[in-house]
Amino acid sequence: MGFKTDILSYKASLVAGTTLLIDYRGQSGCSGPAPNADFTAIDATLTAPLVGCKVYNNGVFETLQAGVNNKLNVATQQSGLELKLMKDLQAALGEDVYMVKTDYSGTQLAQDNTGGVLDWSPLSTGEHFDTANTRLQDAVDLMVTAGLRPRIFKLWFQGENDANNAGRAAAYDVNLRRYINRDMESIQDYMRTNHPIVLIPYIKFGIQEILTVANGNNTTLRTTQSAVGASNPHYSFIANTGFTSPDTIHLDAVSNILGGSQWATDILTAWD
Amino acid sequence: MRRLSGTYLGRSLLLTGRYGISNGESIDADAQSLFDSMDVQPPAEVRQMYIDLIEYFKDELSLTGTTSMWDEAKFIYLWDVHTRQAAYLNIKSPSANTLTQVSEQLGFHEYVGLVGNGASGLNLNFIPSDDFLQNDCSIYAFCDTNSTGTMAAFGVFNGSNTGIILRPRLVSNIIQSALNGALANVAGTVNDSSGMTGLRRSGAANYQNIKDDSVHATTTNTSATPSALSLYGMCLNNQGTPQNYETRTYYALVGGTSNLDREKLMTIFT
Repeated sequence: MGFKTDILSYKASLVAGTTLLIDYRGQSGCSGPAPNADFTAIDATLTAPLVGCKVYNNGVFETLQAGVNNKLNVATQQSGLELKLMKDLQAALGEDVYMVKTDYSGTQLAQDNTGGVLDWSPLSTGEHFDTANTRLQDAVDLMVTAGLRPRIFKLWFQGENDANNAGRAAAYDVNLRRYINRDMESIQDYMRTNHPIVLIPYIKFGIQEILTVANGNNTTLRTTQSAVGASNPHYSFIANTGFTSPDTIHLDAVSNILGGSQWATDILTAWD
Repeated sequence: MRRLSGTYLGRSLLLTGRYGISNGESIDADAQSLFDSMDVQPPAEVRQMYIDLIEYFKDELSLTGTTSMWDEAKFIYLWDVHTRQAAYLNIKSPSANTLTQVSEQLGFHEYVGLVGNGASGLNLNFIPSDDFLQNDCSIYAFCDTNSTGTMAAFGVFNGSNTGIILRPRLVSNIIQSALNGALANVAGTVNDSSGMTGLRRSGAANYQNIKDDSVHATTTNTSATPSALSLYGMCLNNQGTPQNYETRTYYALVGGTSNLDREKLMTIFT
């Protein structure tokens, strides 16, 4: 009869009837520079239109397809882990699944005060954090208008740029914790204000460990990602174990498929 | 637990019970005061949970056997609720000890709790020397996270380096704490910082560290005058300087006299 037990039961009751929305953000690792031809060679269904997998693009939801709408602002013949992730989720749930992907290659989490670099810091105004939040809010609005009640899993694949600098790497702990807190609260506040009847107490946050060669900076950063991921039962963390790369930074198609599969498994069990 | 009736978000609700709001009954005055202090009202189900919690505190006797848990509590905070503003209210007295932010905004996750970021904490606006008796007080924190480190669940140090502090699990897997006394490492391994960790002083030389529903350790740590500095949550107030910020997630905090019953606190909060 305890308050926490009752809150958990209440939350569980709200999950029924909700629709999964993946809010996938990050830099080049998220963007995914693996050639689509490599995905096709492994599993041709991944690069065909993924029926039942919806991606937010230009103000509407479209059927997700590699090289068409799986990157922000630009269509290239490259993809990331979103293909396998969404395909597996749709197959497991047997219903439409939704995604907003906001990827900016080469960008940092640490706030840049020089004015020359757009960053992900919640302390910056009108930069990537705000842009990604606006895109998520627009996507949520579309879903609510369509009569859907989203439950949101936030997937974060970023840090390669911050690992390039000792100061940014050292600050990544505070910066990432701040980012998660502001990110989670931003969508909570938006929902409460704009869609008060659409309760989404379930918001989870997943952190994908970056893949960079070991040196002082990115070892610090990856340790931080692991520690933050383990610091809260409402966060997930997946290590880069088994991932391979053509350039020591970005995942190849095999690893993007592995990563997508691992995150699908995590997300399907995240709502216990 | 009582059930709710009526219609809310398409679900059937049934509100009954001593403090329920149907059947023409009036709501408990303290519950009403709490709801009146909230900028956003909770969903009906959560509203009933608040009412039940207040009812439990009032109905259940404290360790004195004659006074209620409610009477022995000084502050009660629930953080796994619907809004930050509601989380910052002192349920025992919504007009007093409202939490205020230390440094930047602490993370609030709806129906989860307050999530530390290593850079901010909370001022309880609670002065121990005003509201705690030197040899009769207790504080209990409820945590979601199992991790090690020197982060402080709550604390205040005065100039003589005595005060109130709880570090639920150091890297060495022990509790480090003080309650109107000197900081001490408490014997006995602690392998989990999650759950309830509490401090209880019921005498000048009777000081207990509580872990969940058990006494983890009892010491003869000598008491000192309670600090005149405000008590902070999720960090340490070291003579006005916040430090040792939490990175864990907490969902409730309660304090009062030494007569709060730890087993009943476990029952109602977890």
